[in-house]
Amino acid sequence: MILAPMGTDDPIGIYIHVPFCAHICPYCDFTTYAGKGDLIPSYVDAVMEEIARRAGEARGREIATIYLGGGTPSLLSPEHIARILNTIDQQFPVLPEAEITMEANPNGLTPEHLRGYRAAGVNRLSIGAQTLDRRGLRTLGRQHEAQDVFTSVREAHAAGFERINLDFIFGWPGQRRESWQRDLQEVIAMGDEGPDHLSLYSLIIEPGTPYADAQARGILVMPDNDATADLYEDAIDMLDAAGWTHYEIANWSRKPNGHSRHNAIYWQHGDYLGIGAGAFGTIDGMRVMNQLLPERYIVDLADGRLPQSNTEPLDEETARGETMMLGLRLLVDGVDANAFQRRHGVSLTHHFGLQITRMTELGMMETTDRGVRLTKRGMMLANSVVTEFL
Amino acid sequence: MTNPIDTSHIRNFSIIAHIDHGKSTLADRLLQSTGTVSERDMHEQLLDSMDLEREKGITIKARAVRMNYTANDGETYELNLIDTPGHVDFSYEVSRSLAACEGALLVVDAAQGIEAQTMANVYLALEHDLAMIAVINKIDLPNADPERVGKEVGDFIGLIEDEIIPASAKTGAGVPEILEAVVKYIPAPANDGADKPLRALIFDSHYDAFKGVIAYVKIVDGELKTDQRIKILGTNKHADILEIGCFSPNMTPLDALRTGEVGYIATGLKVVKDVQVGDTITTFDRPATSPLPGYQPAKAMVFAGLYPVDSEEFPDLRDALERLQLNDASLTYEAESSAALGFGFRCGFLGLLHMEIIQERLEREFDLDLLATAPSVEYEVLLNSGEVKKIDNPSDMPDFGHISEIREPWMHLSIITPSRYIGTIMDLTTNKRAIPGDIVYLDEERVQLKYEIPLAELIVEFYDQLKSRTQGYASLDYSFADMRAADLVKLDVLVNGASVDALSMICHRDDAYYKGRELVQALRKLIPRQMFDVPIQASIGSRIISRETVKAMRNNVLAKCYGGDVSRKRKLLEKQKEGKARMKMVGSVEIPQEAFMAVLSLGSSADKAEKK
Repeated sequence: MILAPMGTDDPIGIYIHVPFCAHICPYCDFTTYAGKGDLIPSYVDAVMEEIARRAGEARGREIATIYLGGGTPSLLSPEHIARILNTIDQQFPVLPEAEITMEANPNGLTPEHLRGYRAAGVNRLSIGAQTLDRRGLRTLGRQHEAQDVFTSVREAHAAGFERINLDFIFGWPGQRRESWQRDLQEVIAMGDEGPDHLSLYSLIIEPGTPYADAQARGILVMPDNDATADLYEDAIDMLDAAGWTHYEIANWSRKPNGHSRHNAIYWQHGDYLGIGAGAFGTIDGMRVMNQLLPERYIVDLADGRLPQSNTEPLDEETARGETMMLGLRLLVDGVDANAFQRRHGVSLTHHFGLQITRMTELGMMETTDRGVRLTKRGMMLANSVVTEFL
Repeated sequence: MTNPIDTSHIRNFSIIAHIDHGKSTLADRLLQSTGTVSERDMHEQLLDSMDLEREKGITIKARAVRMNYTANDGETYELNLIDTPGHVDFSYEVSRSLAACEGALLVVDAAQGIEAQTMANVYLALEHDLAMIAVINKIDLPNADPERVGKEVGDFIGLIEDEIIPASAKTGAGVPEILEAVVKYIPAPANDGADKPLRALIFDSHYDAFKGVIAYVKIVDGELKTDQRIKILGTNKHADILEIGCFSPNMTPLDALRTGEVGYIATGLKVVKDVQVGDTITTFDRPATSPLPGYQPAKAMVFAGLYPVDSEEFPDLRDALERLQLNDASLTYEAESSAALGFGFRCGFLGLLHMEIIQERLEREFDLDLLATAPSVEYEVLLNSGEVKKIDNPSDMPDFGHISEIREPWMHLSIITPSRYIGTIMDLTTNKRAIPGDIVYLDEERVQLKYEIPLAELIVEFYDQLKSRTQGYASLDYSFADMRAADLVKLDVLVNGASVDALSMICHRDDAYYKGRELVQALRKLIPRQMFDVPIQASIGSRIISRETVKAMRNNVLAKCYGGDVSRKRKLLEKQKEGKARMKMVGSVEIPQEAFMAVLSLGSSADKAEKK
């Protein structure tokens, strides 16, 4: 069960951003840079420094999850990863069963590296497959082949990773519905040999990306809203039939309690520290954004400054809205009324009674014995529902 | 103070022209040539001081400027140039300006030739018995044909060669000849009423924050001095004069205005409604008994609801309308409420252009965000009880069971067009219920078509359609004819089962079916997909005549939302919410502003449908 929202003294997560890629995919607007691999050793030192400097912000709260995201964290060697995780262990009370996830690209993952990451303490792997369609991989500017996905999953299992997520993107230009259904079938068919978790994202054109430019020039034609809805519904139906649990708008788990516990902290409106260039943290009502450029990030820490570029205090009104915006993404558990009362000091049904009634009447939301959650229709139109609460 | 000039040395004249034929430029050039304005102060289109006027290239308010001109005979003349609005919406104001003149400069484009408004203005000038001088303007243009146009002017307006002057207001060519012709061919004002009680014709006014309403007047009889108390005959208002003077071109105080002279009176009155165009000013001590002829209180012809998008701006909108009305006697407004749009005002305008100008001024000068409903005319409804009601808002229409007759305003319409467009214009006018009248060939290529047409048809897309069908070559002019009975019905629109009052319209029974269909189809495209299916229906009474459905939205979800995204995604959604706030909630359906104007686009799509 995922209880949302979390309490203000509950365990927290740590997110570590690795802003390096061998190649930038044309749809990506994350903070990541190609051709800066030389910075990696000093960057790892800076990350360790930041972890130490931010240790006090946790007020002694336990660490439930660690997530190495990117970028491409698998560009870091197992030794780098081990040093970072050791630093966290020294500075924070890390729970013994903590979930430690690392993102990786399917290409360039050697069995040796995989064993090294596992030995360093990483116990969950998130692999960016994106699609198994050859043409799709080229369209998305990916550097791997479908075969690399299967190989990396098999080798990760062999290296001792029991928990593996695959990321997929759907609704890319030119994607045929049959191709998408075939991807899903292949993943489902892997069964126990395959991933235990899936994240399926509909492609969003982000401003400033090569994709946005190509779309503006008419080179890329995105599938329309209804076509993307078809793909999304295919995934929902097929994975449901295969026994997967659709527990968050874009996330499915194959086993009970197999959800991403780190990501769940976000949806539970829990606290997390953000470490690394371009990382975000949210702790004790303050959202913190770090310096984007790795060079400046490294210099800031070397000069004894916190590398943050922006902070945003969250007032109580905003926090309540965010609890709904995030918590309603949890399709099974939704927002818990008692947890809401504890976290925000007001009753969920009093504070948001009008919105809940209206959305329930429209068939977008339903009340459970614990609180409220989206219906299937509400899930498809989550933005329209959530804006009611902001 | 110079000695008072003899009446025989006064010339009062207007410049009349079709839009874009160069009236304002010519006025500028006259001011410059007579030294009324120095080169340094000259900025283009001096007389059009409102921003909007300059942008739209039209003159909204008349102006009167005094120029001193020393003619070739060595005498100095006082030339009063009375500028007139150049659009059909303002034809009454034009007629009052002309009534203050003895002559007119008729400006005709040397390439375009005579246009509908040219003729309308000529007839107006003839009605006022004005001497006319034709200025064939823009002779500097490569496609100018002053000879052909001059011949046209001779043939159709009956001017002799000396009264037709080729000129270019742009280069200044012909301007000296124009000034001489003004002195020579335009008569001095009559002087026989000099000893009579004062009668001053108000031909325009504006509101000044310090001096109150400034009346622009021509002294027809008697003399006006600064220390007098005045009386306005039509509105029966009294005022003490704060100041009198003339425009040269700025307000210049004088001790007196004498018979035949043109100038201004600062009345100290607070609203222009009290000082209406066409009314007569006399003195309190020695009042004239009869007013000058021709006065008609301003009358709105086109009506529309103006609503603030943000309902909290309602008081601001009222203040803004009040301020605009200070300066605009023809603008009417009255609070109304719509179930769909909340609180707003039913406003009356002279015509569509006037409506557009007011709406733009409200948005621009008062920073209001407005929603306008489709324009309507004023109907006369004869009830079974014998009572006659005037209805300018479709949603106020009484139940049809109680109505024995509905009458709608009809207009005289004149269109001047190259003859090759006659077919397409006939097509258009037939669709618009117009009754054809005379066809007059102006020359081998150009023809004047006369019609009678319901005003309701004229205000919806007619002008745009005419322009697009004739590549902009046709011009039109119209004036009120009479009220006629018609077989009209009220078309209602139901969105998600609820009638939306602001979308109701009155239309001819024969048109109701296709208008209803077009309207619901237009609305289906304009109303965004919602969380549920939204049926849109058109009905006459309880009978549904057309139906469309806005299918429910299928997919509106942010694919991913993780720690780094939360603030950004929240702001994105908050923005979506702001977008929604700009729409009007009607029941549980969000309707964008454009939907309320959908009725306006019906004409064009109906034409397209018929062409298929």
